[in-house]
Amino acid sequence: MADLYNLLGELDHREDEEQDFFKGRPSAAGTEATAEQSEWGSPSRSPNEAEVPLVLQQAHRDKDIGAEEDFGQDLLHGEEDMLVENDLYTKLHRHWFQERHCPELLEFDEDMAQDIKTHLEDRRDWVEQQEGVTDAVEDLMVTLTQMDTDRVKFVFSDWLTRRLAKIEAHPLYMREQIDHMSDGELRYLKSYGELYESHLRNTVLDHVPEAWQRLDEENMIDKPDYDSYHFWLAKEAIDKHGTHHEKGTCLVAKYKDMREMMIEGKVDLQM
Amino acid sequence: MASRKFNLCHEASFCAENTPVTVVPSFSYKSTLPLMSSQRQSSVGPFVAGMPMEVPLWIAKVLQQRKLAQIQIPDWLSPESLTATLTEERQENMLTDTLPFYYFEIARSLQWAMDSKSTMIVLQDLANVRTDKIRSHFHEMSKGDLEKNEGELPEITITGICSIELNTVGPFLQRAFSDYGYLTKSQKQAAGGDFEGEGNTQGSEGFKRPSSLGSRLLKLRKKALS
Repeated sequence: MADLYNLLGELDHREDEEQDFFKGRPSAAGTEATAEQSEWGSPSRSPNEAEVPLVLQQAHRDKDIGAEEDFGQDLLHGEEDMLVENDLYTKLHRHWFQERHCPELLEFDEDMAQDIKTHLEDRRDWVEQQEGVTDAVEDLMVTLTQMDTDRVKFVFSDWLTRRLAKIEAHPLYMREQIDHMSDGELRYLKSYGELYESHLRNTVLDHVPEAWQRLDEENMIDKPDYDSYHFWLAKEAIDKHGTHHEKGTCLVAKYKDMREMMIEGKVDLQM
Repeated sequence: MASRKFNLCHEASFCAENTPVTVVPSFSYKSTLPLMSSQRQSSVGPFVAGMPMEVPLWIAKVLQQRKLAQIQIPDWLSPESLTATLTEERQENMLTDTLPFYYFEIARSLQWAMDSKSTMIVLQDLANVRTDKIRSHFHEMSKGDLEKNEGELPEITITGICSIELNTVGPFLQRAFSDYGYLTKSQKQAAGGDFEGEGNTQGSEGFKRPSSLGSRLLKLRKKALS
């Protein structure tokens, strides 16, 4: 069992380092807190204030820690939610990873996107509520939650960005892939397509003979490269072209050869 | 192309930071902190000073920087086990699969927490040996099998490949293969004497460059002239 007196002493030394960190904090809660609680570690404690005895500080601290057992539970409602969040992130991570390397647009998981947005908003609201927290360890927890949220936000936004980039790269071909897109992406495709077409018409197409003014012809539509080679990871034992590959083997193969297996979930793109 | 490698490097480090590592915190915190960005853990804590616990690497780095915890270097990252892996790597033809996928990125994150500098030297050697193995593997294969199969690239097995090798040689190999595919398709077309048939569309699909207004104009002109 750790020696709490020494722990407090140790953390006392670190308070000087934390001071720099706290300098930018809003002082709204500062003066009230010092008047009421005289909490050890409070950054806005004035030098004229009397030193609270160590025993009282510790008792006060224990009371605070006891009150904050609901720290985590404020964010989530029960154990099941915690497990659901993990699955959620696993799904998001997999979608993001696959979308990174896949030449074509993959399916859009509407429910997952909605869940993530809800959770992110909940977190943001919670972090905002925690403004003005003065205890060093509590503040650390808030910082960690903020970083955690930022990480998820990055993955989410990068996933959406890559999808939009693919839509922009092959706008005419994407008209056939609208079942893989969300409503927002559809609207984006529409307006981007209109811009693109009007640009081409103004610059070139209106000035060439009418026979060549069509953008819709098969030769004119850019398709994503289905013949490109990728690195694959076999999640189950698979049979390909007569050869049997065990689970865990990594392969280099053409995208179109492995496409069906990827949709079934037997292989994953690694690069 | 350079910017793509830059992105790959940062994305690899990002994914590597989700790996769990053992830390020994020097503070106590009774309740748990829910985590959203971890695939394995749904929460972290409670923290008990002096007791080792598992946290994701990015949390461990923050704690160590604030001097609130001590990171324990994982077993596979000790100089002895790395040297053993290096010896094994030099002897075998195939890549060893005992290393975690993000071994290089994890080591790079932890290098300022490591005691001996020899670890990074051994690690660099290991990464070089593995990358060279992949390069030579493909080089040998390209001499042998490709000539027999008349240009159709067989599937190559590279089990045990890790993130650093993928990001170093991956983009180059992908480009090389697709260029090879385009060239062999053109050869097939020339041999078959069928230029304007189905072979043409296949050939143009196999060699994708980002389309621009210029390339569209070229297509229009080609059509006009045909």
